[in-house]
Amino acid sequence: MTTSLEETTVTNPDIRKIPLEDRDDIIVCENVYKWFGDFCAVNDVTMSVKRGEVVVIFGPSGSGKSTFIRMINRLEEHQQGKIVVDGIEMTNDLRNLDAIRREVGMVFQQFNLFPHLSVMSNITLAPQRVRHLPKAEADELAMSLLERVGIPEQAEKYPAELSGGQQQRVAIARALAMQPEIMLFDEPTSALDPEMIKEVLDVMRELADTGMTMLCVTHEMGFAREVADRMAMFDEGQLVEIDTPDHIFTNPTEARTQLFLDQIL
Amino acid sequence: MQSILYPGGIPLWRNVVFIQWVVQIISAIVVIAIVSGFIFNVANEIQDREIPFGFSFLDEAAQIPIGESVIQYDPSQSYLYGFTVAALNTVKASVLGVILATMLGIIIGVSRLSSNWLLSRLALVYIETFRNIPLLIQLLFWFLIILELPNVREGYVFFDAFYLNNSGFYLPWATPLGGFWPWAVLTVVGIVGAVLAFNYLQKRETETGQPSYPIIAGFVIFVVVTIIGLIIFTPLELVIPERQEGPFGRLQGGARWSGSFFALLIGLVVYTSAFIAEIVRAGIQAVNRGQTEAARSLGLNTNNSLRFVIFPQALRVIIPPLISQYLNLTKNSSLAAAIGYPDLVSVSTTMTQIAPAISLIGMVMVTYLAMSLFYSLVGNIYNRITRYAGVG
Repeated sequence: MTTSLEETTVTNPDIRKIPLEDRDDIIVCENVYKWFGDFCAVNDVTMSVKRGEVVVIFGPSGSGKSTFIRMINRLEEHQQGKIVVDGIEMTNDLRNLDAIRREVGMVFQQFNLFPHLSVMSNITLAPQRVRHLPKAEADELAMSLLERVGIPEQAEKYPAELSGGQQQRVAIARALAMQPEIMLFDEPTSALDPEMIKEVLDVMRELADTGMTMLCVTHEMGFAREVADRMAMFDEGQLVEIDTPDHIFTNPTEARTQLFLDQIL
Repeated sequence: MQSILYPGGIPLWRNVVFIQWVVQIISAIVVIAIVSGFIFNVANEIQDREIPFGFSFLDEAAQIPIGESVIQYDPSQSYLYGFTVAALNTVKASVLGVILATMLGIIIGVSRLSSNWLLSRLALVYIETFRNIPLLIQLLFWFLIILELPNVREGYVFFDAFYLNNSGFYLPWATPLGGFWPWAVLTVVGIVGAVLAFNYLQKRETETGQPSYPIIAGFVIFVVVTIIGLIIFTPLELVIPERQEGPFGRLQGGARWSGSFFALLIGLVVYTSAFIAEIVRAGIQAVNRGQTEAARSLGLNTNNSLRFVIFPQALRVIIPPLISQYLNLTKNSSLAAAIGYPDLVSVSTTMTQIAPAISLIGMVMVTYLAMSLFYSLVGNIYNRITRYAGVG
């Protein structure tokens, strides 16, 4: 039995066929700021993401890229500016926040699986408690997601019994179980051994094909070149430039982008 | 195995297995020699110097007064009975102390983590003050305060039911009436019903996804059944301490906690709760921040994220050191002797004036050991139930 990712996600793969400029904005950020004490972590960022778009965010460490995507589901609070996610404005209204968090899934660098729950329970917890799915339905959903990420045989194991790559794939399945419209990836492969990076990137690549809107903070430039619609360069809290991979790799507008790419490639 | 240098095999003095065996055997011989030497010596001394030893005294009348007791006692009863009375006094202080210290410790530990600056600082001051002053000093402090209180006639009164003065703390207490046993049976039925309802609703919640409020339902069933039982059977009579007519203004009815017991309880609870507060704080902080973030990013609300993600992990960290604090509290209650509470140590010490000291001290040690092992057992069972694969 194989289940396709389309059956377990709510997004529409056909959206990838529509040109970017004809799609609506799913994330809009206007003049967003965030300070930690005196340190300005995110400095006047304005950018929008189209429905079904894959945006790779890169830049030197401490450039505010993680802080920026963590603001999209309010793990960090923006202190100035405006963030709108799928038409819902990010305010202090708990109802808005809950609605946004239901639409936005997140994958962390350190996986953050729940160590006291089996792989299965990790995935079914939120669908059961938040979406009130019956257990049988939640289990079925979890199994099909596990098949999709390629590890159905690990369902009854505990996170500590899995390899890093397997754990990260469970984390992706867990986030997908809430059937989000948007997925945020915060350096999903940085904590992985080299041979496990590919298995996670493969899952992400397939996910992009389903029409999922994705924001990925990553240093995997091969993945970016191949999958990203646009790439955003962050430095010192600012959005330096955002453009197609073609432009960024061959002819970046900003010297800072060129400098950073020279350092890592 | 053949070796080039020693065709016959590895020489014994380089053989790791052989060395380990030799070390094992030598240490076993040393331990046996020391222990048997000790026992032999003690037995000899007891015989030679005619030190009294044995347990035949246990049946004899103890002839010593015990100031307060959980069960009826008078000095004509046996040593064994007197010893039991004293042990129960220790158990009373330990059990009440453990319950109250846990509740207070959790409140202070959580306050310590509060985002409210004032609350968190107050908790810090409380913790650092009470865990850094020796318990004996604290017991004497509370005891002196109670001694300095006004007398029975002029002491403090709370809600016309609680009296605090230099002869102790008077509080309302329930005494059983004729309907007690039928009520007790009905209450047990209520508890069983509550547990069944909890299990059923919990299962329903997981199976169907519909919120079914198992905790609330179980609690309501228990409370309703208990109250119905109270109305039908009138099992208990709540006796409120009342002031007698007359010049001394004595109090009658209810329960009286003596000044020394009250001071002991306050001292143990305050001292231990400071340690428990730190354990609770450490337990909650030990759960990785990423866990909260993951729960939140999945859309779980605070309630569910605490119930299903944070608490199950924090409790695993909290329980072992918490049990260790329960053991400390129980053993520390032996300081009661300093403020005149008739606990196990103080009563046994009085008994040694006539009865053989070695036997009594042995009995006291075994009793404390039994109590401590009981707490440890409960803790270990809990840990075994909540262990999960791959960790610890």
